[in-house]
Amino acid sequence: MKRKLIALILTAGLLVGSLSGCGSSGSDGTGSAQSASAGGASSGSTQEGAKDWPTITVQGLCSKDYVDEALVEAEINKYLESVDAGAYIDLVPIAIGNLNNQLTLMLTDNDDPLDLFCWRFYSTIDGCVKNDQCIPLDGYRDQYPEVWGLFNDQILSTHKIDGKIYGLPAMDSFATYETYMLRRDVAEDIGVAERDGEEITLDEMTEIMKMAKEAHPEYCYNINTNDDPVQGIDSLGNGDWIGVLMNRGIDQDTIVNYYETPEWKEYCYRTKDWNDSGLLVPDSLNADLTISQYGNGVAGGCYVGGYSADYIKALVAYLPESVQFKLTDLVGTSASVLGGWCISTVCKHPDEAMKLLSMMYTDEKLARYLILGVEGRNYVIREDGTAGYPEGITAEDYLYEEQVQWFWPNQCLSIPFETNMTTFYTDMLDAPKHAKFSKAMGFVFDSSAVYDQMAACTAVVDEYRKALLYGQVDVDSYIEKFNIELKEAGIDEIIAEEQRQYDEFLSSR
Amino acid sequence: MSLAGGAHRDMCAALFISGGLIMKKPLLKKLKKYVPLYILALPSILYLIVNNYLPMCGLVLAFKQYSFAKGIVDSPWNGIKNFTFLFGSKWAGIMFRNTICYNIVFLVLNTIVAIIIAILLGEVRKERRKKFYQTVILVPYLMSTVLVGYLVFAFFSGSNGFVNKSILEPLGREAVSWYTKKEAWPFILVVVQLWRSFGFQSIVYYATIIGFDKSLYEAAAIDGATAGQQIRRITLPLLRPTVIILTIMGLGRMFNSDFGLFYQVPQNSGMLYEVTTTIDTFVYRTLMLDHDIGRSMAAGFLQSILGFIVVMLANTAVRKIDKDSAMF
Repeated sequence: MKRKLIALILTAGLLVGSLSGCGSSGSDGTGSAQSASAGGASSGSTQEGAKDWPTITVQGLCSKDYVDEALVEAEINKYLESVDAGAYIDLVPIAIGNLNNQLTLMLTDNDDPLDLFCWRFYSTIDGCVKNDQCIPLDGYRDQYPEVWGLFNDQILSTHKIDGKIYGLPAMDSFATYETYMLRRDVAEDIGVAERDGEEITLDEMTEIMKMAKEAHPEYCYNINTNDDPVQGIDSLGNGDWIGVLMNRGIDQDTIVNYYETPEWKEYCYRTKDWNDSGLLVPDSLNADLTISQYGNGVAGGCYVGGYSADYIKALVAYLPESVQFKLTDLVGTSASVLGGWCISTVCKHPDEAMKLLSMMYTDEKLARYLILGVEGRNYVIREDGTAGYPEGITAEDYLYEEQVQWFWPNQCLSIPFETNMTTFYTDMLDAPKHAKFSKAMGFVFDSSAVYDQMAACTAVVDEYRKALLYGQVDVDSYIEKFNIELKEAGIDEIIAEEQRQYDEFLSSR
Repeated sequence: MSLAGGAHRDMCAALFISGGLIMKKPLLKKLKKYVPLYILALPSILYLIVNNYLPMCGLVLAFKQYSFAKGIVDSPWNGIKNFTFLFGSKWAGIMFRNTICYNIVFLVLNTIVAIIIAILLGEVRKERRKKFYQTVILVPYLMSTVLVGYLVFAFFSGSNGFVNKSILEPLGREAVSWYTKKEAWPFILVVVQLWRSFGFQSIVYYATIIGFDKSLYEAAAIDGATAGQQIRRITLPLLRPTVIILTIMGLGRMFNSDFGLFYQVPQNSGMLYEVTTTIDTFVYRTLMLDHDIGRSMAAGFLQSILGFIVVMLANTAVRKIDKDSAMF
């Protein structure tokens, strides 16, 4: 009898355990949302005079869960009450690694909807519209002219699909130029250190790289050769470069097959020469091709881009000291708009969501809460006006995610964080004024009519491009094969369709 | 195939067998007698319904242009447009060829190697050694594919790999850039797959072998049968039903591939695509950025339907040849 009893208890325990296990794993996607909303609600309801406002869920980005979510939310909601905002915020921080699954799930979830989200790292604005994941915002234009006024028409039109605005770009410089960065110690040894900041051609860059290799053979001298600006193309937002504008799109009317151009061939010869001279990362087809290779001493040089010389210096301040040679002009293309904010189709309170979104773009206090957290706890303002971690707190404590300013709608309302560059944001706002823009800025290609060709061409590009970009194969014969396969896969049809839409776009402007 | 999957298969087999017993008795008697068994099976049946049957309703998405705003029911129909991207190019031939050919090779080699290892395990007399071998051969099976990918990379890296540095270089041969040599990869992938999965399958066969009636072997030994004869005349014939069931189960996954093996292990190297592209990797690469639920569903749907057809055909063939060995 005793045995039976024990068996019964054990069975019951197992059953309960497994069921609760199912429950927790099943709701994994929304688990943090629920706890977040619980936190938000409690923070709202515990305050005196909590109003009967809707709670708007707002996507956050983080590398892992941080400590102060509830605290920051409570502070934000206190502030929202003080300005009579009409809605509360519930932060939904999502780790980059979970973005794909969690966002897809939350954007279908009618019961526990995500109201405001950013497509960066997740999709494109075009993709979000095609999947019916976001709603048009044109109706709010007259109500919030100050938000629309933040962007010039070209930049705003990057979020225009079929004549409607579906999102607002995340504030950025919207234009960058590329430099070649070389370790300062190496540059000094080969006598080019005093040319820091000088503009050079790719030939000169190759020469410098070869000199450097001779003096310091322990390094390689380029990491990622997959770089649109250096090759002078506007990819029209397609990372596979299927149909591009040359000259970064400046004054260009004709879309071409880049892989057929002499410019592409020349670049491939160049990378072949680099690889044969040992200038590229060993095992480049398998290696990690990020700037971390420069940081860990594998590479002595690589491309790095930004909107100003100071900005680039600030960007790489944590790496071994370097000099930079300018390679291209400051140009903006659709690819320079890296993220944008949308109201989801599952949102139950779009008016309130838009109100909060507009505040995120224009209200310095709210923007700063979202970007940096709570002053005194998550950051302090230093004497030079920049922000930094409070004493005794480091990034490892992970109280709040302060490192993703660029993710939020308007980072320029924040203050430079953990950098000495006091003009970080003023320069950023200034950059578009000096930049040239691609004629196709704002053109969004709707590829649905040639979807199958696009899928086939993408696979062909995946097959051939990397080997060419890293100088692994014979250039002439491989490019020839590459183009034959692209044609078979239907690249001409894609470009014809894209050109047709581009012509329409140009004539409508 | 995961451990859970294996257990699930065995459970299905058990259900089939008990089903066969039940059929011979009148309904009421049978119900009364087997009620406790049904109650025992209830959680599993519920699990099967919730996990395996209910989601099938979602297959309708393969024929819809899915809209996040409208949901499954209200999304507009899309005909067979979701399927066309699979067939529009040279990749169709490549991915179907690779998926099927690799699967056939895996099925045959895995079965042969697993049976040999299982028989050898059965011949090990010292208990502690037997336990040790059983554990060791399972280790590769429990390893993450990403890790396996890096182990393979340690062998075949162009600049620091074991094969180039420690084999080819001492022999005075030139180093080979393995991740651009597509001729080598069918062999590498087959070996890696075999190395990863033989352990688990061996254990399944070994579990069957230790269940065999020992008196058969004793009788054979008395009659002077050698070890080889015992294996040929007793072990292998007795193993046949298990082999057939596992093979038919394997055929059901004929059009699926181990994504990790074909994506992580060759490190998604473009120059190897002709020999590493399977339906799963093609779908992943094509749809990765799109969140196109309709097209992903279409690909999965096609794989399942084709797998189902192969299983039915295989079972029919087995039934024709040897009725008792057929699964249903």
